[in-house]
Amino acid sequence: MTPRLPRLAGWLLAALVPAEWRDSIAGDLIEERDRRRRDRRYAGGLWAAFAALRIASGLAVDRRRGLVGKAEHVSRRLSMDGLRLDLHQALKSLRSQPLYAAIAIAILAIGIGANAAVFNLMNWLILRPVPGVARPDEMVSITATGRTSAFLAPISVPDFEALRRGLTGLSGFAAYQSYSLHIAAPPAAPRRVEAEVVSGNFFDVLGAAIAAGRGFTADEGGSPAAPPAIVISDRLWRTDFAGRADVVGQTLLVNGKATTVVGVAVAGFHGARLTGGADLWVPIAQQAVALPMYRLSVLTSRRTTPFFGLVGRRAPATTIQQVEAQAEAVHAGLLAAFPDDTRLGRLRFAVSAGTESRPWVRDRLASAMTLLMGLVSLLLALTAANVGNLMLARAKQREGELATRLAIGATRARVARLLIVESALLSFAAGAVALGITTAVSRLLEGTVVLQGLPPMARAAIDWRVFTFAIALSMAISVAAGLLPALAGTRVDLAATLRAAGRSQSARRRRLRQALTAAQIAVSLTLLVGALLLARSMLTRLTTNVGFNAGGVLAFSVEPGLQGYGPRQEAFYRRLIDAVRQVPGVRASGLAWLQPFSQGAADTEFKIADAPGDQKFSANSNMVSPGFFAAIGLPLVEGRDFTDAEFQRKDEGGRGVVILTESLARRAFPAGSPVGRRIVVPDDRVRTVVGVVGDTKLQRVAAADSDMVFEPFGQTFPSGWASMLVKLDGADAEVVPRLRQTVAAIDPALPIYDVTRLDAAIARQFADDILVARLTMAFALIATLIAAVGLYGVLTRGVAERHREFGIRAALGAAPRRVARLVTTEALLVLVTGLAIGVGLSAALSRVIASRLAGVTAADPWSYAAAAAVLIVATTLAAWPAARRAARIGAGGILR
Amino acid sequence: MSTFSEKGLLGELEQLVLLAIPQADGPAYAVSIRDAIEARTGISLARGSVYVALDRLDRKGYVTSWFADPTAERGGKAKRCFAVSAAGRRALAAAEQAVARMRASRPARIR
Repeated sequence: MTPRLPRLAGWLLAALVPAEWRDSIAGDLIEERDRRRRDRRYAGGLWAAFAALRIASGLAVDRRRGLVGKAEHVSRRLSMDGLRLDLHQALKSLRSQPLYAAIAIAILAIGIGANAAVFNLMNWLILRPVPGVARPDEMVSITATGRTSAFLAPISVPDFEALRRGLTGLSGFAAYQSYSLHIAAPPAAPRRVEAEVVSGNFFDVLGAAIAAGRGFTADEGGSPAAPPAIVISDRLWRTDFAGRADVVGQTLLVNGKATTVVGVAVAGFHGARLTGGADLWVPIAQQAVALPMYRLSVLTSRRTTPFFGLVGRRAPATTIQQVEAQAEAVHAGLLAAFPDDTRLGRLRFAVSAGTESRPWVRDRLASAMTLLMGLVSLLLALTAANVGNLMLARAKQREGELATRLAIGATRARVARLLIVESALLSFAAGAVALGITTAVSRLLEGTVVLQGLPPMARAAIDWRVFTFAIALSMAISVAAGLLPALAGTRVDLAATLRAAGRSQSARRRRLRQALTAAQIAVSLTLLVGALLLARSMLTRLTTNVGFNAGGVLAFSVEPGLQGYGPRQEAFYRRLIDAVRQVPGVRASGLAWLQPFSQGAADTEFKIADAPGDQKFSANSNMVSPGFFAAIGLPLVEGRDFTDAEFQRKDEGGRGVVILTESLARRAFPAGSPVGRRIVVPDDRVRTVVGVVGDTKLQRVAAADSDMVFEPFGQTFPSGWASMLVKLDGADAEVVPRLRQTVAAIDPALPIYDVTRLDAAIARQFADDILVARLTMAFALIATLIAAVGLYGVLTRGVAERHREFGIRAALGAAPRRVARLVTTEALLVLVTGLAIGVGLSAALSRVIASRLAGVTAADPWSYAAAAAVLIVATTLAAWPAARRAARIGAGGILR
Repeated sequence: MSTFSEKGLLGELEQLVLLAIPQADGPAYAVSIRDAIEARTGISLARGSVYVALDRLDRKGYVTSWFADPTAERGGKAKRCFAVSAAGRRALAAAEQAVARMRASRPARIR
């Protein structure tokens, strides 16, 4: 194991030191570090980073001076001697008030920690390079997208080859597409994993590091006759091969066929996409293994479009614009060669930097992250105001000390610097605590689905980006929070203060503190309003009437098509339906082509047969078995359910049937019963309406309408997969294992997947909204708590400062209640000011989240009222102790 | 006598480093040079100073440098080794002479 320089120091050297020095200095520092270790002196990352920084800055400064004159010493201390003194002073003074320091650090740490946690999330989702990919800045992704809109289209293998030939500005060009495949390492039960079917050169182009074994050879990548080879992820190696060293060469059943593991990818590599989740890679030449439902000749023709993801590596000195121009030339060439291809005519090839090929993923991530960053920066502003307040109060206490310093000749700037150093010290301590908070938060998020359609979050380690962010934030906040008290604290009326150290000209400063507190209340209100709006809209979404009780239904899917069933799957589905019906705990069951509320969606268009005019109706569609409606509990309004005879009956001779949802049926057939009427679906197929069911949103819950056209399962085309819907009597934990056994009894090699209650599937559709709503609520409650504690501090300190005044008032006959009212009036003033500003701020900012809201408007008075109520309660609780204390002072107060 | 070139007279830091290069233990590189100065004078230079002086001397042509083979204990990083060039020897001599002459000619009072 060769020693390495700590990452930060290495990074500093790489960034700041001239090339001819870089390596030798790194080596010197390693040597010196080991020497320091032997001497038992501190030699950690910070030592190395500071040493690197001093060397780098020394060299940089000297090189700017030119060669005339002599070399100057690099100071052993950071050049500002005074700063060191200040640091010493600040440490001393903070140590003398540990409670103050602890509170300030805790509050700042919450502000910085929340920001760093969100930044960490953003880093994990967007910023960091794809693990394992060599020189990620050279990577480009090419997408086939609409000429006018940003939808994403897959492309065919011949078009991919045309691009590969035409994009000469790329040193390599590979394609991939995500599929779910079945794996099994007997005797373990089969399971379904995310996989990528890739062009043979995939690993070569990405430069993706292979930890053991190798990538695909040209033969494996290109020839269907080659023995089937796969590369597995580090994760799969650990779970399914128990991390054994001799994994290369082992056999894994993929879709029931034996394949040989030729390589294991490095840990963390799960495909070219940053948020990818692939555990297995199969070359497209091995279609017979990976995608047995297609024939290779079909799969590789221009008729089929298996590839979504296209990644290339830019050759040195090629710009993205050049690649784009070449892609346009390829597109023009293809159009000239295939003038009938209308699909191609509607598309263009877009080139973008990086490996993420799905623009909507980037957009959705960016939108959610921008919102969260905005919210946490509000929280940060609030903590800065709060700590600024604490420091102001302390500056007030130290008026005497500061006045003395000024009197004996310190400049105002010098005293201000001392105060800023103090605040910097607090901020950096807070930054360190914040990194701990960030680690804890990312542990909490581990395994959760942060955004719909992405794999669950893995361990998000804090890297140098997050570290730098936290440090930069600490620096910014130390200036922001320290500046105000520094300015106010140094504007001391010398004579007055020295004359009577206790009595202050502090009315002005108290107003400043009240203003800062009001600002905190304003920010709290804004966050609370935002949180309540998002929460209400969340509730609206989760309780959307989907037409039946989703919580009572369990779904799971099977894909016999992947195992190469072909026509045998019909009999399989019949056996499955019969077998599931026998399982104890199952009250009703039915089959559907698309699992409700999953990613899949289909829509259709129809006309009324024999009707004048050309009116078309559009709706979502699905194919279901008899008993499906009873299984999910969707009421049959009119007509009948599909029959066993219609189940898997091919659509021949115009005997096709459909069931419509109620509103759609009423719109399509305003007069008379829809049952028995006929409609014409695409390809001029005629269908008879046999029934009407209740309205339902079976695909996207957020969709505006509840229109569906149901067909018998297998009527339009045979499906290689199906979803089983089960109404349960028992608990999942009892029934699910029985269901697994039932399927295994029919085909032990066939796994079931996407096992979920339907209400959970609905919640997953709103994963990102739920995340944003939850975090906003947490931020808002933290903000309110901090603001209330801040107000409490300001009021109690005010009472202490006005002790004499209250005493005099009491002596002159003011009832305790009247004295207390002085305090409550102050609290009320702060509260009302804060609420007024907060309402304005909320009105301005809630427009940002307006597009995310459902069932509630951005100006929802209920949310505003509830947010204000929370703050009124918090203010009352914060003001109560101070008011009581003021009332108790009594005439004796004069004596103190 | 043109011993004061456009590059100026050597400063004391540069002189110390130039004098230390041939006296370093083993090959002369930043760490051994700093050690050599500390061992003989008790002066522990800041690490950065040594690099600044070496970098400056290198750019003035007073030292020549080369990279030794990387070793494992240095994390596979090569040492940058130094030797005094002929010009460096001349510059050192010039600086020493200038000081020696001024010393020799000063009046006894301030000796």
